[in-house]
Amino acid sequence: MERTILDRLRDEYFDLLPTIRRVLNRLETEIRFHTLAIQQRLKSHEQLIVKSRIKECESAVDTVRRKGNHGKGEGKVFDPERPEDYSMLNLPDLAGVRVLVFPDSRLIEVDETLRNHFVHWRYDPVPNSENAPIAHKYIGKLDFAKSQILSEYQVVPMLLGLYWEVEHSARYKSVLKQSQRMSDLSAKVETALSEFEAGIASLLPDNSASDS
Amino acid sequence: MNRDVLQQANYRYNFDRDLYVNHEARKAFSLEFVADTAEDEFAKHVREMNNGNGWTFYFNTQPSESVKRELERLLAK
Repeated sequence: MERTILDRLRDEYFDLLPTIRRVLNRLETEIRFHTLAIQQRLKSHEQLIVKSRIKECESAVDTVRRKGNHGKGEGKVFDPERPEDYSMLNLPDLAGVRVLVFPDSRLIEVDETLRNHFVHWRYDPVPNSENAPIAHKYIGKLDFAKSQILSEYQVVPMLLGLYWEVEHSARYKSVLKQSQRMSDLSAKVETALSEFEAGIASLLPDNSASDS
Repeated sequence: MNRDVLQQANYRYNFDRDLYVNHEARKAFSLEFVADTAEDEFAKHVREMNNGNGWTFYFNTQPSESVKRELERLLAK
């Protein structure tokens, strides 16, 4: 029986899963190691949280389809005459780590520290609705186990990152992702949170709290 | 609103395909097309008759023939 592109991709995903787990474990460990010194110097009001995730199978399938169709996602189908255009290995984020940092001054420090370690990774900033970067994202390969898997890490302002966790699950996988009204509201929230984080960073004196 | 026009014309939202579909009329509108088309023009497309044997897909980017065939197969289920 002819195997569908969907079946083949699901097989590919689960074949890769043990390697994805190893890549994620390695990436998270390296990031925790390189940010440890900053973590231990945080003042009482400052925060640094490292979160990691493996992209879920169906989410990965959706992204592979969109990429294979060169971003033309209308109709959400695979082109049966171009099965070679679809592979899990085309995805940049099967394994992902997000570093949430507060406030902005610490975020800059974390970003520079990690950039100095992951020197060959490609910078792909996360833009806001006006196309200005509001978070840092890097994509690359870890140099171990001959892994072909691309992974990504992000350095994100904490309030924005926590908001995205709620917003993503509530909106991304429903018809609301197409709603202009929701896009407008989301842009307002992102602006307000960015201004709050920048305000805290600029208004709090450097010696406002002792190191913890 | 374009979605109101679709509802009045008995289109149903197909979540798996992100399409508004009317099986009787054999026509389907993508979410992107619904969002990006002016109301007057959109209403005209909804009123258009499908004169062919196959389906008519209203997309911002026209699908290839193989994608059309795949969509027709999936919508026939």
